[in-house]
Amino acid sequence: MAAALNRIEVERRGDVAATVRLGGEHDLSSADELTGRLDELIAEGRSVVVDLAPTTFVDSSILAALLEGRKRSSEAGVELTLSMPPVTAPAVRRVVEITGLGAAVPTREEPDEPPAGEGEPVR
Amino acid sequence: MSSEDLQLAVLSRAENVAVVRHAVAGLAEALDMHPAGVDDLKIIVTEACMNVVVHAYEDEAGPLEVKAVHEGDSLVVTVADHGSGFRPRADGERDSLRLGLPLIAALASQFEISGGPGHGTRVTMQMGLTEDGDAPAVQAIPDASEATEIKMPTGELVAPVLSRVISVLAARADLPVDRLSDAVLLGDAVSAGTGTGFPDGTASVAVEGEDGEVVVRVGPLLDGGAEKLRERMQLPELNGSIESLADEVGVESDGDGEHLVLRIGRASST
Repeated sequence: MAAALNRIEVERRGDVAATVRLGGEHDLSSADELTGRLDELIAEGRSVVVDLAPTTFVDSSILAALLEGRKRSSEAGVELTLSMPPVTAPAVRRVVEITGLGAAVPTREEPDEPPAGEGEPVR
Repeated sequence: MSSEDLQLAVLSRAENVAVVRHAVAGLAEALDMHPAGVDDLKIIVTEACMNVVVHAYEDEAGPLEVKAVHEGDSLVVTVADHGSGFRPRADGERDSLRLGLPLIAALASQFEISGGPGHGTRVTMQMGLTEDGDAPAVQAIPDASEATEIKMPTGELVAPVLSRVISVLAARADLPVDRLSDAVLLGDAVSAGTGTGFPDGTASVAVEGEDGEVVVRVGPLLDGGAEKLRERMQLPELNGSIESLADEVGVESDGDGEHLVLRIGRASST
């Protein structure tokens, strides 16, 4: 059941970048897995884009995992950004906006675009 | 239990939160809740259940009980446990709880937390079925004053409260020590005089302290009450009246009634 409800896909791009795509619904049951994936990529020295477009639900434990990931990426000297294109589910966008996560973690419209408010592309 | 109500009991495991979320969302959709409301409902139910999973039981899973009741134009959902109650934790607290409760507060039409040690915790949340009904539409924020406004029944408890408030605000206004003492004495005189004169027996005093000045505004008072209060506010220990302490004593009137206004600044008035 859990496999059908949510999935986390990782795409490594070159030596220094990666995209993490969240699909389905994500809550406490997948928060630790997300944290593990982010930690692994950050430890490899990769800047990470977390693509929220394919997901239909995230709760505060996922937001907390993203915040923690952002903190650890900063400490490691790499970027962690969110991708929220216009097709992102309204429920996901709403939670991100209400909690202020979008202000705490740089957000971009598409996975390959520079984050809003930041001129530098992800290296 | 009506045919439109739902009761669920699951073990407080993370994987069961999705089960509850979908069960409650299914009921909401069957009751024609508007789509954005269903989205919000899924979030608040998830957050309440997650609190149970993470915080209710020490070492093993326990009962997580959910009830959803159709009441008028709303769905009222209660998430309950039999755990140890909410406990603040300094360390090791994930950001999720800090985000979770504000999320419930932001999205539910109404919510309430009850319980305590030994009684478990119960979170009750209400969500409107119609788009207009759920709406904590933007609530008008009442005008707020810079002053600290104190309202309490007239009596002996006014003095200790007022003197502490005046002390803090006089210090914030950077009054020298002698004037700070004068301000506190003035507060005591105000307290002593506030036995009568208020329309409903509730003493009402506003205190503001900034830019080297403390302003004490007593009222609204009954007609003629400000002058009577001024007469009552004698300072026998100083053989004087409030004028010996305050830089300015005046009576002001507005739509609410009369106010006795006292100002005390850095320089002594005597």
